[in-house]
Amino acid sequence: MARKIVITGGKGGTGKTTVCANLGIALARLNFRVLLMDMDIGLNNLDVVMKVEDKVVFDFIDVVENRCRAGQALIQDEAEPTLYVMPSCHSAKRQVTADAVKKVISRLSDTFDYILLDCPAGIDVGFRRAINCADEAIVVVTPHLSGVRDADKTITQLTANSVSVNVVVNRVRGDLVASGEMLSAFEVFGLLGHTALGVIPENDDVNCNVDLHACRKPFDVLARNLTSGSYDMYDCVSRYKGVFGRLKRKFKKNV
Amino acid sequence: MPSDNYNRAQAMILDDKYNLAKTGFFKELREVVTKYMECDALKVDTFSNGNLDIVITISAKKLYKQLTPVE
Repeated sequence: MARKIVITGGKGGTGKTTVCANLGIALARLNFRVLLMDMDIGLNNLDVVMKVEDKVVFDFIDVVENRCRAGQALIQDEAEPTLYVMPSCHSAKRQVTADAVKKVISRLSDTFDYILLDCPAGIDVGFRRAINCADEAIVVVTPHLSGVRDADKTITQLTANSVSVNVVVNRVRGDLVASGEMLSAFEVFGLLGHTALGVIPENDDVNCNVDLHACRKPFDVLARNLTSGSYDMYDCVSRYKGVFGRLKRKFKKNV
Repeated sequence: MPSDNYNRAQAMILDDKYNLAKTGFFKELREVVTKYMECDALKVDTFSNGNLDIVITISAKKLYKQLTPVE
């Protein structure tokens, strides 16, 4: 029976899709069978982030509307054979209900260990559909005031729907945290008051869509925390402390 | 010592959660305060440390001693 986890965050641009993709890769590296499911109808990008956009024949709307079997809409990752992607589409002719999606997920539940649902931004229809299909949630939040505020509202909705919440702080700039200009991950965990699952630093390679495997270490720590219940946090601040750290900070800012 | 960003974020979250302005808390607080004193400023800060801490700061010009509550 798969663990069904929705990756959400409320605000757009927090890195939900990136975290979903990289966490899926990290879990697959631990030999788990993982399905990444794009729940965003309209602004679907998981296929692009996973670099499988040219392999899409069927999507999950085709499965929901019985135009194909669930297995036909799965795309296997080239690097990780236990990782599959189920893409979404640009539009659906009919309203897609949470119950219809739940049926598709339950059909795949025995085949996978983890089903990660990439939730759309916002807290409206798409968000409600995604959280109704999951038992757990990973709230991806950036250490910015607007991100924290939206994450808090998202967590309120999730807890009202009895979905257990874990928090991942994404796009942390160690240099800005060390100089006190950015909220630290631990401050964000304190503000949101929910289980801390991981810290992901800002990474230029991820920003430029160069290589998904570039930011490997923090996602490996995140995957270990998720699978074993450990509480290790990736440290991206200490390298910017001390005399050399101050120099690095200055150099980074000038660049 | 919490940073300015932390204080702002906490105030925002608590305001979204409890929204004291919408509940009429400030209006009623002002009515009560002006019964007992003449004041320059009235400030309400909220903090969360498990419980919700509400710190009310009143800069009082003059206290009306005759209206001190008997209870």
